[in-house]
Amino acid sequence: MKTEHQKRLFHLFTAHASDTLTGEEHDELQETLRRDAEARALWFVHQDIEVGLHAHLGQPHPQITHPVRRSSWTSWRPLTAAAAGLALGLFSATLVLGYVVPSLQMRIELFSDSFESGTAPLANGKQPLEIGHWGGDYTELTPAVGRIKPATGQHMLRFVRADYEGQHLPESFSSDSFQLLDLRPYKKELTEGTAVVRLSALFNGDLTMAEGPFSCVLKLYALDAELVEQRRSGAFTGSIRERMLANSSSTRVRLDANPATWQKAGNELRLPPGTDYLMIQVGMTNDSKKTAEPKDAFPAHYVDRVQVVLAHVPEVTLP
Amino acid sequence: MPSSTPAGSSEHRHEEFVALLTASHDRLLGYLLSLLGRWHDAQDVLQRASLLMWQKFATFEQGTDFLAWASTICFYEAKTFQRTVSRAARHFDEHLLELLGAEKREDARQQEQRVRALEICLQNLREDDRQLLSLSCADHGGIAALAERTGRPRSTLYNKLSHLRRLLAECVMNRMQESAP
Repeated sequence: MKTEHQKRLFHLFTAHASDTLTGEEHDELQETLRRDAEARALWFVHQDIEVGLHAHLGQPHPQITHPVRRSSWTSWRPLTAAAAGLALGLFSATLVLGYVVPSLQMRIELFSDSFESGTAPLANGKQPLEIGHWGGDYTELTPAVGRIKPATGQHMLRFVRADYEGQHLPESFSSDSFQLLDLRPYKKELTEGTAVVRLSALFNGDLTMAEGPFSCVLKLYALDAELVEQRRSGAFTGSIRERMLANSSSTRVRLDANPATWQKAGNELRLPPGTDYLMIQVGMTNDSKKTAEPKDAFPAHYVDRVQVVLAHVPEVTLP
Repeated sequence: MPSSTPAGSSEHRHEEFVALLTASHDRLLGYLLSLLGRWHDAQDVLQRASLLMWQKFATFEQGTDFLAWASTICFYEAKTFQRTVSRAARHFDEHLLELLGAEKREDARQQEQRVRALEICLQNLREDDRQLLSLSCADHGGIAALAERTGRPRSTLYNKLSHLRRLLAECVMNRMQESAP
């Protein structure tokens, strides 16, 4: 399709979306779509982009979200409430949809980091117990390196080694960094057991510089306040795995060999209602089967744009 | 088979409906957007259609294709919407609606890939362009409200948004081509 024709079509698509088409333009758009399969294909792409823009950039609609949360007798089973609303004629269609599909109305971004803050991650081998810090194994913030450019902004996080300050672990094959998120401000979102968090991140590597294969690691741990307080005070020194409320691991997304593209990986966890904190973990593992070679160094492996989003998803019921 | 009266249906049936509708929501919205071309209209129709789906859920056979069943309801609801709204003159005629509806059903499986590709393409935009698109989403495509919000002339915004959408479409199509087997 010629550029000018494409430009004209996008002009018409945008005018149609904003309801500013003139009568002649409307006829032109309709006629073009009717006779031109390529224009229809472009129309479908345009509409999918609209869906995508609202998904990636859109905000929840407060008028729909809040009334759903106010009423106690309708708050437990969304669809029961919808059915009641239908039966009694109480609610508008918009409001009922809010009950029927709460996840559609509520996507809360809990965390987003593209490593632009300039704050170096801690490499003390500990999962951080303060909010707002990355910590764990040796990692570093870096600008573009060789063929790898940051996915977004000017910096990215490089996995450096599979161990940390004062602790050389030649047997180790996974470099990980952790961050603690405080979910207490979102407590009311968690009470119904429908809250699901999604951790996603972009990974990249220059595999010509190292052996492998390598896998991307994304893990989530739901923690209660008592555990975090006891870890902070030193009253509990064991692993969070011993006392976490729930966790979810994604460790088998294989890093591809193309340094020009960033690979997206994700992992989800349904949060128990008692969750106060969420520990997130991003990492890289060397899955090489060559036991003789050390796997504790990561010369060119990166992560960028780490995000955590909360949504409401009804539990799948068993038959 | 449950009763056709929603209030008399089992809790399990409620949850099944919610799960199916939730899983299909974005595709149904994409389907309606392809018929109607306006975000507000597509959302309105999806809301009406969702109610209708729930009322008719007793006729949906478990294990069959919910998306196909729901798309049919959406299609007829879109036609009803066009007949009844005052802006009917600016909607597509029935013949084109049917053509778009049939082709979109075939095209629908690409939606998720496009949305994923878009996420990467958005990262290539400048921050202020992303911000403008975000504001445009908040105003559901309405140029007048956006012009008021940003203090920029309508024509400038209009050309800019049209240009950005075209850039994103090209990027998405290129990425789809690159990732094609």
